[in-house]
Amino acid sequence: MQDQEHVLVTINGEEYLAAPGQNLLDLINTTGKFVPQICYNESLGPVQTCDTCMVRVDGAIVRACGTTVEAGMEVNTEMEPVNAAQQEALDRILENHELYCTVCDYNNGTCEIHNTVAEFGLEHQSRPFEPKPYEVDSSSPFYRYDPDQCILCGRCVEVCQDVQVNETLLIDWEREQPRVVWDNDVPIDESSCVSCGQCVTVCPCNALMETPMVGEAGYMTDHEPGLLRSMIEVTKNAEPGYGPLFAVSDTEASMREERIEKTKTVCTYCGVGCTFDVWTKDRKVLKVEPQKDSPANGISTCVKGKFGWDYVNSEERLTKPLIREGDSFVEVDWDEALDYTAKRFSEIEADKGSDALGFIASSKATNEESYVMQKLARQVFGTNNVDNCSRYCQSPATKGLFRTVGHGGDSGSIDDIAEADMVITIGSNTAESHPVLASRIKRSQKLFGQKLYVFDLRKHEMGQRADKFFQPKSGTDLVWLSAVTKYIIDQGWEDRHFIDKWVNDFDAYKQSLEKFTLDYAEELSGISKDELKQIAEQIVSVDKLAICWAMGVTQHQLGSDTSTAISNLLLVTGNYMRNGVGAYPLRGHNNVQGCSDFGSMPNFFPGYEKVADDDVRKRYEDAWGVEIPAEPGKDNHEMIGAIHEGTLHSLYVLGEDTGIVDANINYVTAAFEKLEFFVVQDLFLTETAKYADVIFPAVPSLEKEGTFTNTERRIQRLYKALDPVGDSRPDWTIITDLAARLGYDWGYNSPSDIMDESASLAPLFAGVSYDRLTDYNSLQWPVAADGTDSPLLFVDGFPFEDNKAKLYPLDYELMYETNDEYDLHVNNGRVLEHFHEGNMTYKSKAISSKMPSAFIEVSLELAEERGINEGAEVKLISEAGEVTGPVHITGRVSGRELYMPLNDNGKTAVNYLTDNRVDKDTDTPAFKEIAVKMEVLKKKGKSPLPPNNFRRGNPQPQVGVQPERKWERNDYEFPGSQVKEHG
Amino acid sequence: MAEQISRIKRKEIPEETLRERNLNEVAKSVSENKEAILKGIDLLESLNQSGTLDMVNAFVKHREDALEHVMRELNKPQYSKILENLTNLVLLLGDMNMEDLQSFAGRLNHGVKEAAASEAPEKTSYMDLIKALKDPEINRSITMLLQFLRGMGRE
Repeated sequence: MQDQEHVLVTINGEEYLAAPGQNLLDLINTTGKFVPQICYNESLGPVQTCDTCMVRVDGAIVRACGTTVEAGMEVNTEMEPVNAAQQEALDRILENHELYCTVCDYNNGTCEIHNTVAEFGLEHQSRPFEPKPYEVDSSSPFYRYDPDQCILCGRCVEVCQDVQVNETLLIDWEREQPRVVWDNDVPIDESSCVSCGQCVTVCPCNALMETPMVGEAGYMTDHEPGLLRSMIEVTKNAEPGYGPLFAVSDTEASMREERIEKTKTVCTYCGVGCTFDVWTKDRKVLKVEPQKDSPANGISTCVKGKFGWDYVNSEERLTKPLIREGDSFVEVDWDEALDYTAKRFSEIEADKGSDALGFIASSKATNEESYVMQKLARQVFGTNNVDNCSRYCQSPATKGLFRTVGHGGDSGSIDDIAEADMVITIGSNTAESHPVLASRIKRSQKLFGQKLYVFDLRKHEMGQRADKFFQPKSGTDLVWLSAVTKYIIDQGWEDRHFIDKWVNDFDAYKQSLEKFTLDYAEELSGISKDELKQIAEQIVSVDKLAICWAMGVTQHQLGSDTSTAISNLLLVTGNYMRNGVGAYPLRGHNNVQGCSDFGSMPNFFPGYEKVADDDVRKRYEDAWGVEIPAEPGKDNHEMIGAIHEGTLHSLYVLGEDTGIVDANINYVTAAFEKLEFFVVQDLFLTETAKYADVIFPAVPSLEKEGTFTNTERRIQRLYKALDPVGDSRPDWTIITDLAARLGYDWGYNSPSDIMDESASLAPLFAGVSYDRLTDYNSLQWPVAADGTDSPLLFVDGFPFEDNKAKLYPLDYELMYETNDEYDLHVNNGRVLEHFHEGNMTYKSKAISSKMPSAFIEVSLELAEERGINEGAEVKLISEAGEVTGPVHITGRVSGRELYMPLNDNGKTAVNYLTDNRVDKDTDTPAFKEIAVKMEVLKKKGKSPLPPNNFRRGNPQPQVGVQPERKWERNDYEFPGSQVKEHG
Repeated sequence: MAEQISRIKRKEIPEETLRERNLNEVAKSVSENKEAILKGIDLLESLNQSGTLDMVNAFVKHREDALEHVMRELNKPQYSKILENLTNLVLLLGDMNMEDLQSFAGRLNHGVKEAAASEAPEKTSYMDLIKALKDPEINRSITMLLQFLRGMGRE
């Protein structure tokens, strides 16, 4: 057996065991022997463009990175002709790249050309550097390309084509002087580039660089271009050999460490949970550098995570506590603000009872901050009226999973989604809402034959890429899902073995499917019977199926039921308890998972233990020394209702622009006006904060410590990169100080103490501690006391009494339709560039230049019918309210369906249209069920989508960088053969 | 009944308070770093005495101009050789065997001393030269020079 599992390879006379199919360079790199390699990157694999990794294999000189190990292979990495070939390749690179390291912004110890030349010991180059006939492309506000420094290694192309899969970059190998081009050779800013920055991240040198780095990173790089040029010349004159040049530049590089801080952090945008080092110089954010060991994202980022940090240094940050006095807010010091708040809360509690107070935690804040918010509500005030914004998005998914499989989280990791044979996405604009996760799907589909089926109203990027794209009628996913499941069972295609062993209630469930015939499903969903059968056939034909879903499922009146139907289908087909399969509700915010996990929910303590459970409650009562009510409290939606009814008099909202992001905001803000005492804690004077009596200035993620939990249930630490601005403070400090004034001294010195307390009380997090989460280490819950975590959520069954999952019977009734008066359906969601109501991303000039405002997306058909053109201005009127905005006409929407980005807090804010209808099981607003009528205000105008938006670009799909085209050039000679001829 | 408002009355911190706060911060740091500060003052004083402080001050203020001048000058062709030689000289120093060089230089010094001390002699004839070879001191010198020439000529 041993022989089959390993192959024996001889390298420089020593024998090594390799895995069959292993890349030779990979193997050499494990032996500690040095072979130069510039285009090779662990995260990208062999690119085969730089020719520096020449070795001799069985008598012939070859690229190690282009060679697969074979049994008995004889490899030599050091003999003279090998060395000469390597040197020839390095010489060619240096012909393309000027080494002026000391005055280069990329001289930070990680330049791979610098390091390779130094380690190789190359002292002189045989051919001088040749400038190229191209200007620097600085058109993009995010990064710049310097063709003169570019060695054409093609890593940027690889990552753009096959990792990000945006397919913008390529190398034009056929022109006289090849260069990297964007789309069909247009400036970067006018291309289809989504500015994810991954090309910059993988660039081995300074050819691609983040704009904020330019002229900032070095001690001697911020000079006028002419002066910089002179300095480069002098550097070259004075440093004739590379040895002395490196001595000087290495010294300068280590001096930079004195003033550039590199701090690990977790992205504060979506739920993918990208981690990276953020480089700061004083308060300036120079760049964001993801690491190959970043657990969720590897080397990937999106435009927001890579470049969207301007809000941290925004002039609009609140820097002092504010108290309402008459018609203005007055800046006060912390003592006054905290004393006043404590006094008012106590008065209301004494006067009107504990349940007259409500608390809303933030999915943007840390786990520790969610924990202290619910502790404040339950211990200090004795109420369960605490909730968070997962109510607006993810509670139905959690509910559906609780009903069927017992845990409300992704079944596996993002790796499992990438590994699946088939991915179904439902109601998820993945490429814009979870860009880094979408890239994993796009890559698996492009390179590894993964089947992608997309169900959505709107033909967004994933819809365009899908193997099959379906547009079920709004709110009918439950129907087609159930019909497909029924058809599978009727055909006897269910996974009988899995069901017998792991699933309860099959018969009752089968019974409940009676009404979901193919005819019924075709009529309601609009998906034809043949298509439904084909979907079923495809599902049962694969071994591993993963289903991802998002707000298009949950934000409906049947959001929980539809989520349940997804889980039912997965159970029937045996797609749980393995790698590469399962249910993946894609969490929308950085910590929407964690905020619920850590107890800011009216019915749950941390770890989803019911407040109604006497044993659980007693555990917390004993720890906190108080009595806690057994009755679940009010959720967000109920709190707003209770204000209108006059039973809730005070609200404390942390990091949430409730007055914009809740549904039916006219109703919500009317409630704010009725509050007796309203406290808002935020970075900015948000629309919600403007109603407050007290505003506490909080800090963003870069200015504090803590943990976030991503969509994979992965708990990750963020470290403090910057000091708080002005007198602002981390949320956990503010809440802790407030509790102290109310007589509860919690004694926390750092968020780590809060995590320890939480881990000691919630079995789900038993083994979570900061020591186990240092740097890029992470833990996926449940975490056992010994620190064992659970990348795969279901291994030994499901968390029910008999370890078996439950099939959950469902019914269906069509709850929503457009009608004659309100004849248009408004779909809404995210765009890549902005986040949520836009309070953070609109602070970035660069991002805003790409997407300056929200818009109303109209189909070609409807535009023609109403006689409107691009840039027209329309008013949409629903039963709840109205919005106005500019029209953008596309083929992504069809017929009488409109789309609006939710990223606006002005007159185009979609929640003026939404109403009080909610998911019947979780009170999540049915944001996706809006019927409107349209009034045309202006027939045409300026397009809301600027000419430099990526949606206007022309992607050029191809696989990889295509080095064969380089090799076919007449002037190309393989360094190995050249050496042979000359030697 | 709380209406939406957005006006903020900034808390003006009196200039005096601000000044006092800053001074306290500085005083604290001074007290914590007393020794370094005193040494620093000493250094400043020396720099001032020597006029260097003024010069450095002026240079820092005009560094961009200065750098430009220097760079323009250094980029002239005649300097490129000097710059290269400078670096090469440093490299040369690294290659030299200082111990041997020292002994060689010591002997050279002796020779110079001797030569300076001697009266101007008459012409040295060919025979004088042959005879002189018998003088052990001269013979040692000639042998050494021959060794040196051999070493220098070696490829």
